[in-house]
Amino acid sequence: MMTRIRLFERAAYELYTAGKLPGFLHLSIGQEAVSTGACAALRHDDYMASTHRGHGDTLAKGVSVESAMAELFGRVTGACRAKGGSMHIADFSQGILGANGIIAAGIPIAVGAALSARLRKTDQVALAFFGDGATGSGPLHEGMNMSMLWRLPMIFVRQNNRYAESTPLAEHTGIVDIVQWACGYGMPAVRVDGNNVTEVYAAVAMAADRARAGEGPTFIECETYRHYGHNIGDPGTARPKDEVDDWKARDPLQSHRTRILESGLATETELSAIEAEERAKLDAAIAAAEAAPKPDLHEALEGLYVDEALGRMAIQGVRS
Amino acid sequence: MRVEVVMPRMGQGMEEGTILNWLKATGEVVNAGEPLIEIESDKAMVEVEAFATGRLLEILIPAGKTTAIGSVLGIIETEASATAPASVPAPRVEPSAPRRRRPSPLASPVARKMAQQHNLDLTRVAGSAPGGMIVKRDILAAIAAAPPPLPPRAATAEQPVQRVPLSRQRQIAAERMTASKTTIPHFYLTLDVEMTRALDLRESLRQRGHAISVNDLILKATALALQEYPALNATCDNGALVGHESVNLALAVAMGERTHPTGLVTPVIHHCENLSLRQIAAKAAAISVRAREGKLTPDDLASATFTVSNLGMYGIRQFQAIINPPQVAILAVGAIHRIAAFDEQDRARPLRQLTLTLSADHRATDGAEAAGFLGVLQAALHDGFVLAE
Amino acid sequence: MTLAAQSVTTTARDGREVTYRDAIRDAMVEELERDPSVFLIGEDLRDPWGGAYKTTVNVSAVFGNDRVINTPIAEESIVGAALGAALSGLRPVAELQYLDFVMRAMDAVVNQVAKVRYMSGGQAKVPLVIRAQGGGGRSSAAQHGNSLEAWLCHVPGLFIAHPATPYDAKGLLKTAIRLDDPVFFIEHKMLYMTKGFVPEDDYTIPFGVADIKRRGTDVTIVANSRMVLYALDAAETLATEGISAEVIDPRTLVPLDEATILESVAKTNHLVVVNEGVERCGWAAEVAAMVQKRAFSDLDAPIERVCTRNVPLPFQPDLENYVLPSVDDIIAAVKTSLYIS
Repeated sequence: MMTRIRLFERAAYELYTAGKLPGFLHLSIGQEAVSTGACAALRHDDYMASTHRGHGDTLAKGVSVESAMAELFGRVTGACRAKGGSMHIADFSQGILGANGIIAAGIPIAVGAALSARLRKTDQVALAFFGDGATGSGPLHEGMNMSMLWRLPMIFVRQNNRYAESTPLAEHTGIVDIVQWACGYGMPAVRVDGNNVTEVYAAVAMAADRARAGEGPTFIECETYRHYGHNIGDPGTARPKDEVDDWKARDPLQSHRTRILESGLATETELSAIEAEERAKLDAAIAAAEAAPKPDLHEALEGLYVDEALGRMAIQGVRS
Repeated sequence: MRVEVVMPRMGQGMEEGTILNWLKATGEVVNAGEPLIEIESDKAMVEVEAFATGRLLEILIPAGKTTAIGSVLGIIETEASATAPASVPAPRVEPSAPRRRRPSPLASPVARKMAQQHNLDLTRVAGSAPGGMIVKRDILAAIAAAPPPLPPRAATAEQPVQRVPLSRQRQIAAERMTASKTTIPHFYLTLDVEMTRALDLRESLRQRGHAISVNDLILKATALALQEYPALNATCDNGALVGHESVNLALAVAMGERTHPTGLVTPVIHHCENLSLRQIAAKAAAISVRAREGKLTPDDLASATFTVSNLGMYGIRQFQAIINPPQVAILAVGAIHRIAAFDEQDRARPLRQLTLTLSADHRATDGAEAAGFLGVLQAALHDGFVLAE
Repeated sequence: MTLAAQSVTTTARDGREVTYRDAIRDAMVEELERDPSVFLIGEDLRDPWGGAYKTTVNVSAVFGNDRVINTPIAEESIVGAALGAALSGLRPVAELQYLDFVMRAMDAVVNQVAKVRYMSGGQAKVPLVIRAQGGGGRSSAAQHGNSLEAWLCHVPGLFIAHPATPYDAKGLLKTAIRLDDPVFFIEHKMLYMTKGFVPEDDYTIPFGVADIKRRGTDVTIVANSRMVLYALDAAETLATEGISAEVIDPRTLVPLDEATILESVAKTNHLVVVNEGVERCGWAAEVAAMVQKRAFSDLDAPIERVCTRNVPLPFQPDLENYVLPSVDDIIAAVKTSLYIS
């Protein structure tokens, strides 16, 4: 999966800089372990809400490479029929409540899904990804408060890549120790190495078990780093070069590769085969996306309301 | 522009006249050539026509009053542009200044829509909303005050009205008629003629093989009368009256529309003063045939001094014809009709009557003279003098 | 598509006089009974408090705390959580205690609730109702008396219901709960204790169908919420002066029953729009723009708007009344439209 994400993101980078992808692009290269480890610990029917940097999260939770790539290209075969784009990729059949362009906005939605699971008396859990940049935003606190209050099956995962766009952690968060802060809500909290996929997996699995048992929410702090800027177009002046290089050397894919080989879980050949397979899938997905049709213009005025008759009345306006 | 209506001189000795009747009321539309006042001179009752087109703005002297010749009886207000076309010498070329657009009257959208639907001219509707804007209630008021509405456009939208441009000849004739009616001060005298004797003697001529029409009788009588009243045989030429020795009578010949662009021609019988009744009849017949065959020569149409127009064959009892300039008079002849009259013993006897109406140019003659002319004409027909030749 | 406007006929049905507040309560109770996936969420809803304006009295006592959820004061999360619940198989009816508080939740309403279906390419459906009460008239001052329907109408993806009577409130709320699309249901604090006939049977009122509350021929008055009652008062007074006013209550602002309004303007040629929102860029401006576009040649006069003045609501009662639309303001606007001084 991490390979899949890495290859996908690299390809997106190339395609975007070649001018083939409209809109914004927020790469998650370097954070694959958080997405992969966390989602691997979730069930297919568990809920997940992501952020604007959501390619890794959504691929990990089950969006197909084909539909994700087609969505970036703005084709009708995309996950959202080209209506959402990079920041809003969603697949409700996989429990994905959507990537979200607004900081912290996905958290209350995930809380609502957790509440819903409780009311419907299922053992589903809901996980909200958010960055360190969301730490100061209202909805995070509201969500923490609500889910503790009602003991909801929630998992809060902070993808701490140490920067909110261009602003370093120490300059946007007054909270010195986030784990201690979460405990202040009465919520169990843990800090893990966000670049160690097995550590992330273990933490989320534990949180999911707790949630399913009715023991309430858990806060998981994942320390990680993004290899690229905030988005394509980021001038790269926000972070010191040696810091970037330092973290790049601690590549989650590299370290996991090493771990697998050392433990004998797979051989070099097998790993290469997986890579080649992912590569081929990705290439096919790119080709398919490029060949796929763009949506018809009239689709811009469709797909807003379930009730089509009322929807037509609401959308029509005075244009003939 | 204001035009004065004055007491006309209806006869040589007339010093004053009495207004018998205003034929139009204040505010009414008046068209030049229409009868406007009935006036009594010392001799006769005469209809006086309006000399301008517009609205009768004011009646200054009411009916029943007597005033001197030339006194102002009333005022006609003409529209600025409605001066007689004849007074415009030649088409004036406007300097090529940018055309100033007339601002459209201020009206609400629904008022505009309704005005269009009802064929109302918004410039003639008063607006009652602030700023003088015309609104729906103003349109409703205008509709209520207007004459019966035209059929709604929508209903007849499928039937295009025929638009036939006038032919050149018709245009010229139209221009001349308009000029005549608007520049010549027409007055009209009507007389009934008892035709029994004339018709009896016409019948006896016919039995002897000479085809004479009623119109021929009229033509001969006219020629006789014009010799006694040469003023009516004159023509107008730039403000001067030109007398003529010869009596050249034009007769109106109706053509079918299909064969002639103007529908009417007026061929001339020259020197009627020298022609007997039978000669006039023969010439009239011949020229009518030539006219219908389209074989009239320019000479046939030239030099008329007087016109006789007869609508009797269409059953018209009486009408007023328009003078053909440069002539100064025209005689309109109606159909013969039988009426009953009573003699001194109160016995009923039938009359065969025919109504003549003379239109005369008041610049060339007056009522007395014209009446005299008609009297001679009447006597010639009544007593059968025409058959002297 | 033309929709017939229907006035309430009260003759043939069993029913009784009910307050606007109780009609809303009854609608929620009946829908809670009818569909187990419906639940209420908001502040202070549970018994014995039963809601700030008592619209949920005796509901949690009957249906239990799992169907009526009291929240912390966290409007963005109330709406966000309601959305999450709607996206995962439930049918929440969320309450914002005051319409003014929607401003805390605007991202959740505008960027999330209204748009998730569209942004997901039609995958998501959001069977969510957000209720809130707005309006001035009891010195609630500038932060508790806003009429923000124009803000919400401006968001593509929502339906907006805005009832003026108990009958309309109950029928529209039931429809809102049963629709699979997000509905913002705007109540009025000054209408809660007004009474009206409400039938016993289970009835719904379709969205996009206006109600002609009073028929007339001289002028069309379009009004919403409390302003409908004001317009009817004005029409009564105008009738004594020989002016016949037609009063149209759109009942839903999105979708708007344009056909009924246009038909009326074609008949009367005069339009006055009454709305309690602030005049500038308010809902009345939207109606005026639509009518002038679609019925330009039916207009005999400019369209009049009667709205709140472009200031916050003052506390002092006389000042507040001065600033809000009044019945006299409506009468004056009608006369201006009709060129009567």
